[in-house]
Amino acid sequence: MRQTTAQYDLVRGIWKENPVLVHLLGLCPALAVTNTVENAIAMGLATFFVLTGSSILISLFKDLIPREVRIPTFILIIASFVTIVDMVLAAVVPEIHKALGAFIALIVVNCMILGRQEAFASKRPVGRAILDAFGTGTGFMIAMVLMGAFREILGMGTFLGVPLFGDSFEPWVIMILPPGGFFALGFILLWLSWWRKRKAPVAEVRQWPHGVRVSTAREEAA
Amino acid sequence: MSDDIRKKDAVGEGGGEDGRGGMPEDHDLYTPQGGGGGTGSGPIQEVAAVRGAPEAGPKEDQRVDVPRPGEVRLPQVAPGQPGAGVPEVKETSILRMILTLATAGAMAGAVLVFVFLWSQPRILAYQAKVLAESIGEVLKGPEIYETVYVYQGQLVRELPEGVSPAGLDRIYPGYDVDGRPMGFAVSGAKAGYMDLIHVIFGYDPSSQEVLGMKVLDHKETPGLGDVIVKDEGFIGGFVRVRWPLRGIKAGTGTGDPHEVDLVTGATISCRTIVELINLRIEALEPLLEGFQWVAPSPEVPAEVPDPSIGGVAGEAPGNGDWKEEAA
Repeated sequence: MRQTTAQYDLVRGIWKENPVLVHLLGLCPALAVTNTVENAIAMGLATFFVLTGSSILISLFKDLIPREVRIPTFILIIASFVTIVDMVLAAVVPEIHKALGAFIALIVVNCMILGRQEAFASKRPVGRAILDAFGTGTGFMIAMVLMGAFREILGMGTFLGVPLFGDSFEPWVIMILPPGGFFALGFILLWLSWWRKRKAPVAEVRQWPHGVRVSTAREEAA
Repeated sequence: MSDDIRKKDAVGEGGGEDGRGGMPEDHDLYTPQGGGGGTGSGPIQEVAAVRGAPEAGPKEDQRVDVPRPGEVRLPQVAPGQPGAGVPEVKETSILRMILTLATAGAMAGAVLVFVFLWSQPRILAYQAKVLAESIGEVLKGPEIYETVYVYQGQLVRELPEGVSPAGLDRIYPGYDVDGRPMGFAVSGAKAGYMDLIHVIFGYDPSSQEVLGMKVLDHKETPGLGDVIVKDEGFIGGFVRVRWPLRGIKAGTGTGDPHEVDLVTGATISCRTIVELINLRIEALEPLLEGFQWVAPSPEVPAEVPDPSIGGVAGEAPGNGDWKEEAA
């Protein structure tokens, strides 16, 4: 098992191993309910709560859950949290609950959540599981808000309902329709990989033909 | 390189890299027997049968590769040898698995019961509030309204004993401050462009006029079909329109009291609402004519409408029959 520091467990999921933008997990809600920033935030919060709650429970009971039935048990725990979120949202913020529709219930099968339970929470102490859930949940939220902002700004000309461009702006309606989700994800991933490529170490070949040495830009700077 | 050196290398590197000592101490397992030729992955030699290996097969087939220098392998255990080797994965009894799942399920169920008990009254209250507000909106502010069920082709205020109101169609007659009838609020649903459009509207049978319309739920295209909830002009067009309604292209009106202006780009969604209202009134008209208007006494609060029916959200089960007719 790879040893990691507590700090790394917390920050890993936020950007470096972002569940949506790097691992491409949880794409179903990321494509479906990011037509406005408000919906994206609500979905992000709901997922955050389910992830944290189930991580804590699974980490607490990891020694009591037999290996053979761990997946059904994880799903049972996740489904319970999702049902709680579903009912609480319907009671407290019915408008948002209506907007998110069936996708609340689909958090159960969000592979990001089950993935973190199987890969992390079921093997680590509770503290680490909480840190990991916070990091991953925040990363998911960041990705959702990125997508939501991209789509709402272009598709409606607003951010969180506040008009940005004035009356002359012609909204790109396609961005808030289902294809807009794919466009938004595609462009964000394109930009991310371009950005990573720019930051990537510069490889250099030296001392040919006696051997190939790869030096990084960082080494050269040092 | 002789096999002895190979073995020494393997032990040295294996031991250094892994604290558990990657190589077995049982020399019998790894005694070289003149292999080393031609396999490409180290000499082949005979070893004792590995636990778990297939019983059948000739003895000379039970051979394994000797690790190459630097390769770390877990020791293999001959049958009957205690202690050494990979620790066996403990098998869980089926009873324990069942108990685990049953306990987890029972605990989850118990928690959900409490959350349900807490949230359900709030959800129902919200839905009732939405319906009450909608009735007020489409009847233009009634002082009081009642709930009347459509039961066996009759409008009844009280259902007979043992008849559940669930699934029954219902309408909401409203009265003004002086107890004069203002009209009925009627809800319904019809397939629009994307999905069912749920609508509630007010209807005054004495003048055969629609009093107002409100969309309760829809999934029409954002930016196009959703003008049915966003376009005030379109919604306002349903005030005081004579039944049967007739949808016309905006700007081509002739002043006919039956005309409703449709919105360009949302023709299907708009037309659906017009058709829905026409069908709904057509179905209810014979019942409404014979309705006995009796204003409930103001002391008695109006019955809180059952939000599970009447199309606040979901399928509006009470309207299933006429929905099929409409389709």
